[in-house]
Amino acid sequence: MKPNLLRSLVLMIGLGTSGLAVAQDGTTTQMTLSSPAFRDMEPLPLKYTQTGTRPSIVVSPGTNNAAVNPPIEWSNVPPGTNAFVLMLYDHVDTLMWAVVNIPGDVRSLPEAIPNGNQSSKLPAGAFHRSFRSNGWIGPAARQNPEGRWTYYWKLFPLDKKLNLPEDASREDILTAMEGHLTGNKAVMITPCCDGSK
Amino acid sequence: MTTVMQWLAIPVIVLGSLGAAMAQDTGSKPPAGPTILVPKPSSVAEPVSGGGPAPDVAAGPGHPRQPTIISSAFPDYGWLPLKYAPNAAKMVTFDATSPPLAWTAPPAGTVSVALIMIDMETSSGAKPQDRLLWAVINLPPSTRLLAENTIRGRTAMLPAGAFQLSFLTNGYVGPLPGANIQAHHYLFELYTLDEMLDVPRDVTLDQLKAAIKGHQTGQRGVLAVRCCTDSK
Repeated sequence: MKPNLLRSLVLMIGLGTSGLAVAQDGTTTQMTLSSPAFRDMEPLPLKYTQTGTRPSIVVSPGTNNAAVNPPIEWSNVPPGTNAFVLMLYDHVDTLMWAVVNIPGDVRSLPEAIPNGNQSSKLPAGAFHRSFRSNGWIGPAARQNPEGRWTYYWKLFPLDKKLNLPEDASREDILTAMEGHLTGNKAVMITPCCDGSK
Repeated sequence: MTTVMQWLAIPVIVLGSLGAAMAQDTGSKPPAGPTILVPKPSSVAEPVSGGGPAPDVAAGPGHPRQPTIISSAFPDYGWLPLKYAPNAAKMVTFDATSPPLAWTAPPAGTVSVALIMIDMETSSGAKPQDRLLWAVINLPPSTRLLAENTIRGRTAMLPAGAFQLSFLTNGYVGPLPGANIQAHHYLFELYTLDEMLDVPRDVTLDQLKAAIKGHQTGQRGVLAVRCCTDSK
């Protein structure tokens, strides 16, 4: 592209940022998702992983697994939101964690929610699970030279709670959410466990 | 600043490290008790699932990893340069320049490769699905790169049999998250497949995922970026 054209394009974008910008979906706000324990697009700390908390990773997940879930926060919730689903999955779509039926007035999840659905740390009426447990399990990707293993956090704002069994799969949850989003998802991406500390 | 030499060195380093590592390989069914989990050689031709245990065994031909996908224009987990997001301010033009992309060799048995770009935040029609921003479908397995500025609609720029589309047009559109709001996350995903996809030229993301299901020759490659609040 010609430099002048590019410069004018950049200038145009700069001007655009000072005015009202309308997103691809017509919304002007975007829900945010964050954690006080790690930064978006940076490695997940080892205390939240099996890699960092199990003496050997050559055992089945859950055995000697001291990994806990990190604290999570969100804001700028779309109007009409009555419930949330928080989902963590990897780049091969394994469900690492889902917290389903979080009430619409909740804005955070605490660290270290125990497995099972009776804990007072879990929001009222919510349940949580992973692909093989009823709670946090944590990434188990190796460190060097594991290379890339990517984990996606998604918060779905919903107009109602979902009617799902507590052993619902990732597919079940996605299907149940069809037609019930009140706005855009909020997203974080965390590599693990290469680079995790 | 990335020099040409550094750029050329990256795939070499990446390829070298591939041999020393391996895929996580586990089924979705929990074992009855503590188990030594060793990947099966048969996993080569299966869609690889995982995220649970990383078996502590040596790498080998039975342990496919995902292809590594990179761009010479921005780092993985970085910010997409504004050059590739001309619609970031408002939807005034489709004069979008696609970024240069390159990837490592797909696993044996790969017949075609599909590259897609998705917007993870956007939800339309109250659906949980991501938005398909760009797809280049039916690339031959020998293709290792897409040059910068793959021009919209011109299949002549693509290897024979390949075609491209976006949700609005027949080529790269680029991000449009709205310039004064929170950044969005974008994934460039590389799917290696055991067949050419028989999908319409205006295929949706749902249709594409359905067509891909059961035909992956390994994990999908991923390059993750954000745009556009801190993009330059």
